[in-house]
Amino acid sequence: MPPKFPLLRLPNDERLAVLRRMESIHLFILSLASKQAKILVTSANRKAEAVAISIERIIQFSCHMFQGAGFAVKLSIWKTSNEPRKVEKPKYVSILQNSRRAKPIKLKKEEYEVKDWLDHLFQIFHQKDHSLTFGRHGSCYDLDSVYENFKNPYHLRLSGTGNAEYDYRVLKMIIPRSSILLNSRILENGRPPRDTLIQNYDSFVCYKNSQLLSWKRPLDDLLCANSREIETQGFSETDINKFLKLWIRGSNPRLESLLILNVPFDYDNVLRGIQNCVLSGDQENVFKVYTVLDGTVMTGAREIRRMDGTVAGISIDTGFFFNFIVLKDYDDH
Amino acid sequence: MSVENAPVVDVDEAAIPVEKKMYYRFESNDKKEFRVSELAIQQSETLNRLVEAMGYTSEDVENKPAIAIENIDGKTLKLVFQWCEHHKGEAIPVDDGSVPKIVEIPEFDAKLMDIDNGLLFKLIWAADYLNIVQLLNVSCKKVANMAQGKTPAQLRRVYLLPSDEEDEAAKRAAQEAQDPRAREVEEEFEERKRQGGNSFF
Repeated sequence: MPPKFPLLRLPNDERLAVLRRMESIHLFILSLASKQAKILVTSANRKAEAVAISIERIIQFSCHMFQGAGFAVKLSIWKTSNEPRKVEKPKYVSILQNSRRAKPIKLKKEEYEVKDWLDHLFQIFHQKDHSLTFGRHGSCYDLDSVYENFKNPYHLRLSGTGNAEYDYRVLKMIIPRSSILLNSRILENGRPPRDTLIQNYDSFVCYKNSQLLSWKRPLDDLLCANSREIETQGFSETDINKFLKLWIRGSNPRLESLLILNVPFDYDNVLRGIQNCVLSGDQENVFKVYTVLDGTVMTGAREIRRMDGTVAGISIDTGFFFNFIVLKDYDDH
Repeated sequence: MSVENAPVVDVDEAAIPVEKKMYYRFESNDKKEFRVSELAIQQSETLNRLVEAMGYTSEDVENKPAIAIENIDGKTLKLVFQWCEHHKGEAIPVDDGSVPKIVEIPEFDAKLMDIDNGLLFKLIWAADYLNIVQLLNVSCKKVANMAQGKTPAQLRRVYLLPSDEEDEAAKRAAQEAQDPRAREVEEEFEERKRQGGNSFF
């Protein structure tokens, strides 16, 4: 016989003390016990760090909590015809803990549509935003139906569903509010569509794969990118040199950081014809604060200045990373 | 009950002082007396402040009546003081109100809390009342751990939570108990409607 404990008879503070020590997966399951249990769990004020939705063969909500103590909710939506599956009421959901090999707990909640499951998660863990990832076999879901349920993610990650036409439709239909990560292998010529590049994202990341040295992208891809932070590949030293000259004259005014990977760079080639000076030790420290990659070893970082007075630091790390950061809090000596 | 006749419960045999240390005497609401070391008392913010305010000397401790803790029974207080003696001298965690709480239950605490849930309930209540932060941590964690591997229906049974239907029924019953006239008025109104009356009043 399982133990019985009169949780509701504990005074409010002690009841909250119990809930605050409960693992997030158990709080989630408890919140499904009744309306009162849901209110009780919500009152514990546990906040999810992020809610990530991934669409592969199965749709999964991952609830990321403090120190990795999260869990996942897998939705079992059955295929009823040869048509792409609609994102509709799951037959059941399986709840799994992130860090353990515990047996998943299967649950049914007849009245809950997919959106209700998501709203429930948001409500009890005080979150409003979600990210959306399309992975392998994600194209088995009807995109209109996906959009209907999960539109407006703050972050979109598209690593390829295995259906190029579907991937392009995703890029066209689902415009994230803050950031995007693309595997450009899935795109025609490896080039993100112009409509995607010109969006005002906070962060735009576009990688291909390890076969990079041969991957060339036109400079236009960089010049029309309107994001604050860009991480990408496919540009040569000559492209970067041209880009920096245009930045000095006023192009890409929103850009705050640019990281270009996997091309051997050399300061002399990148900065040819551009007035620059070596950053002093103190200035380098300011620069390090903004560095995108943790642990990047920077030596001989340079400073360039655009015509409106904005200063940027440039570093080349081990010859394969080009790192450009606008120094916003720069103290002009 | 006089001090002489009170049963003295030695909380921790090993803790009998080799050197001269002050041992305070406390009395539960069912008149059980406990001797607790000064260092162990520091685990309880409430008791620590109390004894500081009293400013007892070694003679006072022996001659004056035991300090009464009126809200807690002897069985619970014994557990509390056993815990305090075992953890005496340990740093008291600062509860900054942040969530979540990551708590590991040490072996001694696990054995101490191998008790029925009625007593566990009282232990949590006592830990909160006496403001023993780490005891509250581990006892609440024990209750939180009861949720492991359970479905929502099982959790309802474990934590004795009413279902939505039971909750609704309880609310209706409470409303009716509060205002029986409101129910009569409602029935009268329904009856008049059935009879085709145009006006209730």
